[in-house]
Amino acid sequence: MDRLQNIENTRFLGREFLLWLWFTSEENNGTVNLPTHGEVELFLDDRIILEPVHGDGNRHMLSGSEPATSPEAAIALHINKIPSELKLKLVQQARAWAFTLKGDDLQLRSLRIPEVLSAADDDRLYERLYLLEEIESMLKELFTLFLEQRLDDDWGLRVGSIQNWIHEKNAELSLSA
Amino acid sequence: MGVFSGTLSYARYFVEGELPDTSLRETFLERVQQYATPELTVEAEEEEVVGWSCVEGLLDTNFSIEKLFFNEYMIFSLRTDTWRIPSTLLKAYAQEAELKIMQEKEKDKLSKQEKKEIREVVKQQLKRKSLPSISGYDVCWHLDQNIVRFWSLSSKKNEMFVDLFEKTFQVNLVPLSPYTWAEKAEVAEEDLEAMAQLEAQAFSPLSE
Repeated sequence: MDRLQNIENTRFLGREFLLWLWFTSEENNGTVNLPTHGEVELFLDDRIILEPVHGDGNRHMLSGSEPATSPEAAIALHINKIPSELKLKLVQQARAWAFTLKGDDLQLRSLRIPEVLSAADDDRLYERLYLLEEIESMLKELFTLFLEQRLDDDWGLRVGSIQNWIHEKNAELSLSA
Repeated sequence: MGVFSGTLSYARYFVEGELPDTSLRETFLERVQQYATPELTVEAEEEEVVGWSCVEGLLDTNFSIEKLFFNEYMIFSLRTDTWRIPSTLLKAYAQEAELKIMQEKEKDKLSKQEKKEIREVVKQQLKRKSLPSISGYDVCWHLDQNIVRFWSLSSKKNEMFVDLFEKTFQVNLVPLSPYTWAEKAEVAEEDLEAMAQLEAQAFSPLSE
């Protein structure tokens, strides 16, 4: 298969990565150990867009405080919708980044970086670029972790854990109804 | 907008292709200057021009090593200059001009060709009374890592950017995607092949 075909045929993995990030943010208190950057914490922020895995169907745009734990999110996951867009926060060594990721292109949108502390203009530029590169590098390590699991023989077990997580979200709904 | 301050929403690309072995800065300076934003004149046929300008002054198209290189980064802007004459304004002035000509020539009607010519003249008159609309989008190329960041996520602007960048620097730009990200993360060849064979996973218990 040629490279362009590979690029297009694997685009769906962007959305699966977003689902994995969401699941990871609720597992183990959102703490992940990255090879280079060490321990980071992942949080879902105030916006999630969910779309069907296959075919056309309604989009669910959820916003407000804690959409990740909302009944609408639980139901959407239950009917095989996964995130096409997520707003996230990542914290590492008391520094926080907030950003939106779209599954289809994985480009960073509306990124907020930790405060730039340098005074001189040139230094501010390099510090700003450094902070940008830090979040890109951490996201690359997260993506690599996801891909390792995705390609592993034990991926089925991971899918089972995600399904249990979806099931628990919906079970909580029934209890509170 | 972008590199120095403001919103951080940008597209990432990987640069592929040969870069100059020697005198990289001088070579790239020359190439950027070659494709600097041209002047958009009133008389020109095109309604829009696109080119490079200095990142610290959007109207500055006189590049130098100091204006272009910032340590390991090459930073500049994509600039588009566009004539924007509101269509209702153009139509109103053109109609006025048509009436005047009909009176002067004592005609009841003008041909399509005559109307077209009047419209063009009126358009140029309106252009002389206004300035083109200018937009700038920052570009930041990390020359060691060969990653380029472009401060717009609009498809149209990205197409324009990729086209001009590849022409200027004689390289290919490959956009970020799950597959290219894996390639650049140096995922093993057999894993890349396995990745290419994957199919979308259903996660809902309903899909079993």
